[in-house]
Amino acid sequence: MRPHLAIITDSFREAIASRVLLLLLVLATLFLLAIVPISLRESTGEASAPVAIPMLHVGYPLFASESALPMVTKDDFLDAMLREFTDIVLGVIGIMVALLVTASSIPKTYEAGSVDLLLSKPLSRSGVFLANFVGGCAFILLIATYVIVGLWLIAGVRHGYWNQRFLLCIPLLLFLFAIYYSVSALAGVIWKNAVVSVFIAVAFWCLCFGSRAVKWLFEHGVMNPSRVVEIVATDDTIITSVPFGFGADTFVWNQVGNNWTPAFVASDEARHLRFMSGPVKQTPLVYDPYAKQLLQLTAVSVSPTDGRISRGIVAGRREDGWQQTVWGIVPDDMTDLLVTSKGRYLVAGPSGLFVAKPKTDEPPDDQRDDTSEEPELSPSASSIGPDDWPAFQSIAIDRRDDSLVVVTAQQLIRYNVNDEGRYVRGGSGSLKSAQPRRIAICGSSIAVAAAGGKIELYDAQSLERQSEFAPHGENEVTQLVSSSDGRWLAALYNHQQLWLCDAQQQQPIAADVWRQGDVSAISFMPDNRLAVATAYNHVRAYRLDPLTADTRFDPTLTTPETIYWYVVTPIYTVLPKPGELGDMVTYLVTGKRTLQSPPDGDVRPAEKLNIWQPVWTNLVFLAVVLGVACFYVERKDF
Amino acid sequence: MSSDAIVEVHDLYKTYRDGLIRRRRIDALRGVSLRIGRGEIFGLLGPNGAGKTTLIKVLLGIVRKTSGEASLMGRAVGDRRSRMRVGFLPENHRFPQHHTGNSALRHFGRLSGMPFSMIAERAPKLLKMVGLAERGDSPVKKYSKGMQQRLGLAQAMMHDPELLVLDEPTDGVDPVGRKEMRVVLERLKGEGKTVFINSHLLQEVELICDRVAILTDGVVRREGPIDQLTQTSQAESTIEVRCEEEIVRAALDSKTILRVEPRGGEVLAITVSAADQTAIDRCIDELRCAGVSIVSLSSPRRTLEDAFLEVVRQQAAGQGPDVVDAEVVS
Repeated sequence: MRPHLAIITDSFREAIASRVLLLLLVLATLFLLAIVPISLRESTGEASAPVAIPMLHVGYPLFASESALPMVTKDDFLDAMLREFTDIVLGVIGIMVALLVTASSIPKTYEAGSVDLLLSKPLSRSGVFLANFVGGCAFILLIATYVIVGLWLIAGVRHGYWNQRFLLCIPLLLFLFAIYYSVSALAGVIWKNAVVSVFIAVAFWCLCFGSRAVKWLFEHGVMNPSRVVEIVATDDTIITSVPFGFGADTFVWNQVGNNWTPAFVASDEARHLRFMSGPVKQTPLVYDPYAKQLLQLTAVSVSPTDGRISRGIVAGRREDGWQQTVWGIVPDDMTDLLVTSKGRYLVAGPSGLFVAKPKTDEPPDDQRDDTSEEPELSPSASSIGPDDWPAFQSIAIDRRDDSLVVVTAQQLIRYNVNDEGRYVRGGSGSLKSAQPRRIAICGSSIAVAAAGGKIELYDAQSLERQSEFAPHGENEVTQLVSSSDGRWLAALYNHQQLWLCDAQQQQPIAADVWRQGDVSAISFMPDNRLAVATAYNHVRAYRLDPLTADTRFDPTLTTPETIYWYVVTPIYTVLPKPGELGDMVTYLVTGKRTLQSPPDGDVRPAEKLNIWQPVWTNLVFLAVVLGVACFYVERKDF
Repeated sequence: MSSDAIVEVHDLYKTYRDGLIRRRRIDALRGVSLRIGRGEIFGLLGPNGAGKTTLIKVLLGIVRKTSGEASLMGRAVGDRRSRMRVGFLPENHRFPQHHTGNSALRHFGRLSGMPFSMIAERAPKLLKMVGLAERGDSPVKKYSKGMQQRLGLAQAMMHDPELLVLDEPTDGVDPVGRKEMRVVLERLKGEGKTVFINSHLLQEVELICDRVAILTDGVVRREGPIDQLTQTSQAESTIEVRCEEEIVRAALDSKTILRVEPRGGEVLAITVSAADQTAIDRCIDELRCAGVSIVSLSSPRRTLEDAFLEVVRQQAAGQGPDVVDAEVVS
């Protein structure tokens, strides 16, 4: 071990003698001293302002300047700054400088005249190479530690922001450097030339960056627009919707063509209307099993006089080729659409609970005969809600008795139907968790998904809490669904993990579905099978007792999709992903696994941080490159 | 292979392959066999490209043999345990430029696995031995070629090895330095160390070495003690006598007398053909019987350089180059 330590320490000696270490330490010190005077001051905005907006004032006394950032806290600002600095400045520029500084070390070692002296000593050739490699890494470790600890101390002492996780960026930066340095070292051993060594390392960086860029382009240009974010199971088929700008585009499975066929397509006027009305919060599709039609709450008309946009229900039937027509108009602030066991359409929003009526007084079954009429401009809905209708977060209907359960910020409230068909409060219970987001009725239980990734089960009658689960840390639940037999509960988290629970036993079950972790939508089918969307636009139906894949809805790949799956993805998978360690930096600094939480009610998955895959692939790559280099030096005649 | 041999090589081949597409085969060693005993100073001679450095690198495991057997201190070449007892001074070696003489010795001492205490003890002594005691704190990059050679010798001796392998040790060293190096080597020999020298400088080798081998084109052409190699192939002796030339010619067979040259006064130098000591004795007896007074008797010898050049000339006349062109090696 002593001889190898001698090589490692000699790398330091060389760096010190060449004054590179000193130069880098001086530059780092100057940088740290330059950021020490930066001041951060939080305020609640101008006193005269009608609404108090939290502001962060960032000042730099050297230039007597101060900038105000609205809606930003000091911690958020420091989070972002440390993350970006580590990811971009240290992770790109710093690594490049480090490669330039260390590039000559290994080629020098293997130059004729130097290598003979080394190899005549009782050392293994691989040991000499690895000791040289570790020596270069140790040098960078020293610099990275100095800068990261310096930043951490400045953030802590100067601004009271002590984030110990940030210190984990030291080994991460070292790891990132080791990946590039391994390539540089291999080139250095083979060609014994520092310039070639740097050139190969930079070319490798470009290759990694290029493969990532191409993958990003394919994902955002081709794949993500086709990602299923919502599934609705009808009696005999599957309907999906994908995000596409304003509202959702909807498709039905075409068994003959083995693809997704557009369905429930809005007219050009309706699309134009939605475009004019701005991004519309995507309301879920609802299937009415009684009238056998697909429904959605959306913007349906605009007033020619004042430009007011009316909200209504659009519907489509299979017999009509799922053509979308306006069924009726509802009050503008309606957010949720529910179908009762009697085929009534209830709409709920902040202003109350209403039963929607078709735009004529005829029953819904005859609606299809009136599709040519212009929609009414005034709502045709009757209030059936209680007088004490609360500001609710989520609402669900129990089709066994058409009772409603709503969840407010602090309470779970049940509303029963009285003899007159109106809803009256039937009971309430307190919530354990604050900020409930979603609710689902699951047999004799009510599931509530709250902020922070918790799922709580309450008794449907007593509204007493029964159990609580937090299977995926603080990741948020984006979809919560239950089977019609009341046995199964399924939740989709924003990092695209599926969670399953036997609600009767109140026991989670293993959710070993195909491409778990890449799930983008879930829904229970009428026969209690679970439909799961993965791999962008693939849907599989699973029986849950036990979990077995039952039916596949795998569309034929288009040419861009084929290129993505069989060219772009394999190349990207094989190549290491040093650039994506930035996701790990974000995770280390913030502790979050997603870039952002989806807005409340948004069924789209949040953009996931790719945290561990780059670590593993890079580790494998590092091991392979070092292995190849060791094999080369072991076999080479010097 | 015998156990008292420090280096033993038998039928050793080394073939380099060069080029990517039309791979050339270069036979650097072609069936080399030699043996170096413990305590010997052994010289390896040969022209440029003869395979001398390749042979040394094979022995030290820096280059892998193609076939044959080679052992270093009883262990197969390449074994790290045998390298622990070997000191090596490579040709055109290059010390890391950030070192001073002292720090370089410490570094190479640590690479040899020496404890710090032993390094601290030996480094100053060795620097003094090679004449660099005053320059120990100077940067290596400011050393002259000769000083770098001396430092190289010191690092090779740092861990007190049993075998010293020196590749062109006097390259760039001035005459004073060469003399000092000879003293060091003789001292090492006195300590029972074995020294393997590879050098172009034949006079140095002749002065230092017990035995030499002459290698050309990857083949050992001659090997043996210096005396044996410098013996002339046709034995001649010169007898200086004090008498008339006619008396000499009458006393000796005309075939025996090769030349008669006057040396001044009455002294004649008679060069006679005498294959061995018996023939010389017989000439002396016959001259004495004829009443010839013997002044001196001498047998002229060749220098090592003569012997070396003779081998090189013979090889050049009898064999072509060893680079086999245009043979694609799979």
